This record gives sequence, structure tokens and C-alpha cells, in this order.
Amino acid sequence: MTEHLPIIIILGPLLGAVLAAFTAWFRPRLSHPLVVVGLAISFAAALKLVFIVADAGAQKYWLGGWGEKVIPGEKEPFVVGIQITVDYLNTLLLVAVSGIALLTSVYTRRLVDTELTGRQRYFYALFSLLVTGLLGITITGDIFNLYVFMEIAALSSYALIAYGRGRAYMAAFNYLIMGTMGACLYLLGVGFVFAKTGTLNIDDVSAIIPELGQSQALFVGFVLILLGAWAKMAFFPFHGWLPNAYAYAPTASTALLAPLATKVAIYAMLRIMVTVYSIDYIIHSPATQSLVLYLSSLAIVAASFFSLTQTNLKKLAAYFVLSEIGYMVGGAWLANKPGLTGAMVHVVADAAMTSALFMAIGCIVYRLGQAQLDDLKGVFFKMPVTMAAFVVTMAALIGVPPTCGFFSKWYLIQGAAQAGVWHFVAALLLSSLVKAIILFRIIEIGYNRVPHPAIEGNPAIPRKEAPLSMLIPTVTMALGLIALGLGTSTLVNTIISKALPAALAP
Amino acid sequence: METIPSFTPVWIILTSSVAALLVALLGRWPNVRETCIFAAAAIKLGLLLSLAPAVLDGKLYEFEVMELLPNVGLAFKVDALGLLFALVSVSLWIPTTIFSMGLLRPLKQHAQTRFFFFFAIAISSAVGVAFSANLLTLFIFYEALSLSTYPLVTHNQDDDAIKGGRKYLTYLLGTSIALALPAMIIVYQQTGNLDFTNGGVFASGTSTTLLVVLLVMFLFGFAKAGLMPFHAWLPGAMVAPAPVSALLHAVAVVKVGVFSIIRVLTGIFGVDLLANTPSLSTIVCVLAGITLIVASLIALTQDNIKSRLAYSTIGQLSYIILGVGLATKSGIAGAALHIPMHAFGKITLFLCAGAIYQACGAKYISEIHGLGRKFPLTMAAFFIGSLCVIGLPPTGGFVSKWYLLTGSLDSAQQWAFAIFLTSSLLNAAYFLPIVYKAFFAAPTDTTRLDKAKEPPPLTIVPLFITSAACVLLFFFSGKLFQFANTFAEMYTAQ
Repeated sequence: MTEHLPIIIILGPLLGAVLAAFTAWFRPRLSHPLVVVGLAISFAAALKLVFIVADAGAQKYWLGGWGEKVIPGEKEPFVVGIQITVDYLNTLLLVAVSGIALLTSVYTRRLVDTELTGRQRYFYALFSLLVTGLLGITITGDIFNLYVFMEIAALSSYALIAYGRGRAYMAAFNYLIMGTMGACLYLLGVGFVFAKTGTLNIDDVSAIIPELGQSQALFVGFVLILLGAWAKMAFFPFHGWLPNAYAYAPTASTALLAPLATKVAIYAMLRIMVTVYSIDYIIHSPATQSLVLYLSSLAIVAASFFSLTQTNLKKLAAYFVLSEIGYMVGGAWLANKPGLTGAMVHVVADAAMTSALFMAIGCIVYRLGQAQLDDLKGVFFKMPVTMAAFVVTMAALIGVPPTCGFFSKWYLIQGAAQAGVWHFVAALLLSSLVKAIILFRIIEIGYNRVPHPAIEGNPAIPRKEAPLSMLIPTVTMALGLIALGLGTSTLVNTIISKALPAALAP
Repeated sequence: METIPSFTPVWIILTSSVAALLVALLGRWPNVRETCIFAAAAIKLGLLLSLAPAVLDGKLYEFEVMELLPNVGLAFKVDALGLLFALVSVSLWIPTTIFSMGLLRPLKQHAQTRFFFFFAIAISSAVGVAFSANLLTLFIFYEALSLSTYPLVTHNQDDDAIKGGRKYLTYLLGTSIALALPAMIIVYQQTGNLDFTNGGVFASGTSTTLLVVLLVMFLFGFAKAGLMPFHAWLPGAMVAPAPVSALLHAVAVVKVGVFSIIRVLTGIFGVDLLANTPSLSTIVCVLAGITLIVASLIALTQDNIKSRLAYSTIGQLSYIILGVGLATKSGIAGAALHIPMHAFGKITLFLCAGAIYQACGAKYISEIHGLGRKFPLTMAAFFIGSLCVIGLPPTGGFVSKWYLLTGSLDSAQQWAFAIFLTSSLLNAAYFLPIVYKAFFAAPTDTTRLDKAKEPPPLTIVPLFITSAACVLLFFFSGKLFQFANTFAEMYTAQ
């Protein structure tokens, strides 16, 4: 049974999606529980696999048993099937994606009912299909298969965004253009790789590439694949689609998309950089490296600046997502041990932080109906538990110890200091400061800008939290941020440090 | 150095956090709530005292909770300086709580539970800083202290409080994130070690430029120490209620700042490095010296009592930094000793200011002419407190300043002697007129005096306790000096 765990991770949400779409015809109420069960199975399998991988190393699985075949006359066995791989690089992200998706599926139930009244029929089928795509990108060991999953995820996310109606249509359309361009670039790059190596299997590609030596075509393929991944992850300057898409999509869709979609794209970039190609590609092209590092710093600074000017909570959070992308791309391109460790830790940490952030925002939207900053007056008295979770989440985003945001940022800054990239250090610190300013701006509006209800004569503010099905996932995520922070050292020692390329200087 | 593994330091830190939880749960019954605080303070004090004999013997209590980064954990270590600071913070927590009850209850203040809750958390954080075994642990508690005191600074929730709170966070969070954090990461990246080690963590041959940059980043990064130009948060934080100003902004918060700087100077840089690299020692001494004089001069111009006290605090904190910067044994001992001495003096002054405000609403020095005749006891306590801060016998402040002065003569920075003396004169110049006017000047506003009511005993008793302590510290300074000396010896003797 355990050897089939890798495929169960994908099958859970995939079957959930199919069944949910099917039952939506005659019994729409059944869709949601089916999806939750599918995600729970997926999460359990992913969790089990972490321990297996930590003990026994990477787990490979050939789909349908179509593995390597020895062709008569050839010395090397020939790959005919699709491989999926769970190794040190993706096992944590699989848990993060399936776990966050599971919590979000429970969390969004009430939001969907109120926001999408009468139209919720296919929401959970799409939801589950998106998760399938994201998990597929993460788990696959085949660069073309990765493209397929990328499209599965993309198509379902266009639909999930367009659920928002009105301006969401335009936002979804923008995303569609940008996403399709990204997918095309990626596919083109895969074409180059296939032309040179004759295989799509990641293990094989990475074994063949060093044998080919310096190759212009391979480098072009590398750049195209990365451009594709950047468009998908909304890395500066391909970021234009993201703020509107996340702000105008239904809150329920954003709660799933924001934490996971961009992080998985970053994982794809890491996979390409670390295992498909080797990290030497970056170390040996210092001009490209320094250009990307400047872009990362610029991404962080620009996103931080724009987040200061936002008046809408959802849009503000979308700019946070943009700046965090700069963290991870920059960290990966530092191409040294702490930098890559930081990027890998931050992929997981940021998925959790963004999820907690959008969950808290969703609770606020559920009760207040909108998310303009000025509407938040008194929200701390109305929803104290939600706001406590919100403050913890913001503290993690700022990087206050002992939350997970602190430790990933620590590694990133350490990496930047080691590489002497001071502009990246400055950008990281600036982003922390900007987030601190925003947190306390919200505290001022939400707490201090109303007459304190406990003082006699002031109007009372009745407590009205979001329903428990939303509140419990929100609080769980927020507490998870602290747990993740305290566990960072363990995760780095047992898993992430082993995902780093061995050739890397300490 | 002998170390004793012990979980007690963690218990000591947790005691007030548990108290905070109980305060939050029992908020409906104020008497039970405050009983919890007193019980926690008493337990804490008892546990601290139980550690004292071994610590004075030169032993260290150590405990590592968990590893956070390779070679750096959430770890605690109790040495003489940490124990001294924790003892001061916790023992002053008791009179301050009594005072808070006397101040907040009659006014039927809002959010008293919140107030006591965050107060207890702040004490936990301060003790956490005192017991930190490495820079990362210290930083965690340092930030926890900044965040937990924000609700106390903005307690009144009016426009002034919001403005003060904004300034408070901008300075404290801004400098710690932008300066102290990267400095710490660079140290870690260079040495792989953040433990406070006798002799510092840097390998010999580390470039002086790097050391100078790091030093400046640390000095300004721990802005709680109030080194100019990052001092403006402290006068801004005076919008807080009197007990907060008294315990946090005369003792816990600001002393955490200087404590962090002492730890960095002695444990990260090392006294030897400081003494042997003139540029480092000079930077510390010059920055502290400037702050010392300028803060005292500004204090002279302040009419608001609490602002004057705040600027006085800024100056006195620099005494401590300057003392350590001298890098001599008596300088360091004097600096360590100045932590409790100044704490008792300044808290007395703040409590007096709070009592005066409660009695007649006076915030400005020009409003309290003649007040001494009406409240002789309060103003007498104020007089003793100011003697302690100026450093005149028979108060404890005299002892610590004595050692600071000897330290400056032993060191290469003998000009510091003149700075100390000038500043003490200035201290006298801004405190004694207040006392003089209160007792001897003709009242400017007789209606205010007539309306003034004697403050309730709950606000008066703490004043007596702390001012009596100021005097007792002079006669029993030997015990405290043992703490300071143990610490100084541990870090200067190789």
C-alpha cells in the first residue's frame, strides 16, 4: 500500500473533483463533503510520505507500472512511462499544499454560500481540480507532465477568479493572457530541452545535461522555462495580473489561490534550477544572476511601496504576495546554501502565512461585507479572536520571532550577507518595516479609532465572530505559523538541508 | 566557569506569563486578579533569590529549550548581571502594581485587565532578556517587550496616545529590524556563533571596519537604550499612565536596551577587543558622552515633569553605556550597579509625578509651586529620588557613580571623568529647582492647591517603599556590588 502513496496524493482531489462535478447535477449538497474527503486522503498520504522520505530518501513511482524498458540493441534502459517523485525538495510542499487546501475547503463553505449564492454548484469541483493541478506540478518527475498539470491548475483558477463577476472578468482575462504566455514560454523551453536530451524525465535530463557541456540551446531552454515560471508566479515585471485577480475574485477563491498557486510556481522554478539543470548554471552566469537579484529587490521594494498606498485589505494582501515572491526568487538566485535554504523554507512558510492572512481577511469580509481599511473601525472589539490570528499572521510576515517568517528571513538575509548582495538585505528589511507600518495602521484603525466600548457612555460594540467553521481553520493556521517557526530547525536538519545540491559551497 | 543545568530560569520567566493568563481569565474579580499578580511576583522573587548564592559564587545556571538555528538555540543562562537586572525588575513590579491599583481603580479606568495582562507579559519579556544565553534569544524577548508594551503606551486611546504609540513602535521596531537584526545575522554569518562568550565571538584579525559598522548598528539598533539620535520615542511614550512610565520607561524597557548593549559589548565583542581597539571604545564613549550631556541640557528646558524625567532617563542610560565603553573592571561594575541604583531613584520620581497628577492634575513644573507644603511626604520622596539620580549620599546613586568615576580614571578615556561630573551638576540643576519651588516658592495657582486632595494610601505607600529603598541601597550597597563585581570580574579576567 505504501508504495502507492505518491499517486494517492493526486488521486484524492482528482476523484473528488470528478465526483463533485457529477453529483453537482443531482445533489449539489454532496459536492463539498466529497471534496473534503478527497483532500483529507491526499493530506494523510502526503503526511505519511514526509516520514518515509525523511527515513528512506526519495520515493519514485511509475504511473501504471510503465517504467523503464530495455530496448534490444540499446545499452541504457529507455524511459517509456511518466514518473512521479517525492523527494526532499517537494515533500514538505506537498504537505503544505494538501493541508492548506484541506483547511481551506472546510473554511470556504460558509463564504461560498454567502458570496456565491445560487452559483456555488461547480465551485468545489473546480476547487478540487485546482488542487489536483497544484499537487501534480509539485509531485511530477517529468517536465512535460509538469506543463499538463500547470494547465489544469491554470484553467481551473481562471474559472475560480471569474466567479467574482464584474471586474473579476477583466482580471481573469488578464490572468489568462499572462498565464497562457507563461505556459507557452515554458513549453517552448521544454521543447529545447527535449531536442537536446531526447527525454522528458527529470532524472534523465539532469543526468544528460552535464554530459552535453556548454550548449547555447540548453541555456535558451533554461531561460525560456524560467520566464514561463516567472509569468506564472507573477515575478516582477510580470506581476500586473495578480493584484486585481486576487482582489476581485471571490474571497473563497483567493483563499485557495493566493497561498498556493504562486508558491507552486516557485517550487517549479526551484526544481528546474536545482535538479533539472544544475545550480552551476546560475553560478556560472554572474551577469544573469545579478540581474535577477536586482529584479528581486526591485520586486520587493515596488510591492512594498504599492502596498502602502492600498486602501483595500484584499489588494494590500495581494501586494504582500508579490513582495514575498521577490524574497523567494532572490533567495534561490543567491545560489548559496543559506539563500537556497531560505527560499525553500520560505516556500512552505509563506504558503502558511498567506493562507492564514487570507483566512483572517475572509472572516472579516464575511462579517463586514467588505474589506476597505476605513471599514475596519472597531473590528478588534467585534472579532477579537480573528484579529488576534490576524496580528500573529502579520507578525509572521514582518518576521517577528519565533514565527516561521522570522527564520526563513534569517536564512535569506544570511545568504545575501554571505554573497555580499546588500541591496537584497536592504529590500528584505524594508519590506519588514513596511509590513510593520501596515499592521499598526490597521491596529490604529481597528482598535484605537473608536471610543473604547468599556468606558461608560460609549456605544457598546457587540462581539460577532465569523462562524466556527471559518474561525477554527483561521486560528489553526495562525498557531501553525508559530509551530512551524519553532520547528524550522528540525525541518532544515532532517529534510531541507538534504534537498540542497551537494556541490554547493557551505 | 562552572555551569549548573537547571529549568528554574524558565520557570521564573513563565511565572509572570501564567500570571498574565490568570489575570485575563479572572478579570471580572479585580481583587483576585491583583492577588494573582502579587503571588506571581512573590514566587518570582523567591525563585530569583534562590539562584543568588550560587551565581555570586561565580557559577552559571543554564538551560537550552530547543535549537532554532544551527548552533543557536532558545537558551537561557543566569549570570550575576542577568540576575541583578531580573531582581530589580521583579522587586519593583510589586510597588508599581500597588500604585497602579491606587491610580486606576478610583478613576474607574477602562481596560484595567488588559493593562495588568500586558504588564505581566512585559515583565516576563524583560526577565527573558535578562536570562538570554545568546543574541537570538535576547532579540526574541526584546521584540516581545516592544510589542507587549505598545498597548500600555496607548492605554488612554486618545489622539496623543496614538501618536505616542506610533512613535514608540517606529523607533523601537524600526531600529531593531533595520539595524540590530542584520547586524546579528552578519555576526552569525561571520562566526557561526551568537552565544555571549567571555572574550567575544570574533576571531582575531576581523577587520576593524566591519567591527565598527557592526558596533554602530548594535548601539543604535537597540534603541530602547535611548542613544541619541534614536531617543525621541521615550518622551513620546510619556503619554502612558504613570505606572507604565515608572516601571517600564524608567526600569524594564529602557534598561533592557542598555542591558542588550552591555551583553553585546561584553559577550559578542568582548571587553579585551574593546579595550585593545581604541576606535571601538572611543565610538561607544563618544556617542554615550554626547547623549549624556545633550539629554541633560534638554531636560533643563522641559516644563512638563514627565518629559524632564524622560530626558533625565536618556542621560542616565548613557552613564551605563559609557561605563561599559570604558572597558575597565570598575567601569563595568559601576555600569552594572547603576542599573538598580538609577531604577530605584527614577521609579520614585515617576511615582511621585503620578501621585501629584492624581492629587491635583498638575503636569507642569510651573504648576506645582508650593505643593510641598500641602504634600510634604510626596515631595520629600521626590527629593530623595532626585538625590539618588544626581548621585549624592546618602542614596544608592552615589555608590554607582563613584565606581563609574573610578572606572573612567582607570581607562584610556579619562575625559569621561569630566563628562560624568558635568552631567551630575546638570542633573542637580534640573532636579533641585523642582524641589525648591515645591517647598519654598509662592503658589501660582492657589485654587488648584485648595482643591487638591491627598492621594489614596495605595498610591502613597509605594513611594515610601521605593524612596526608603534608595536610602537603604546606600547603606547596603555591598550586596549589590557583589553582583556587579562578579559580573565585571567574569568578563574582564581572562
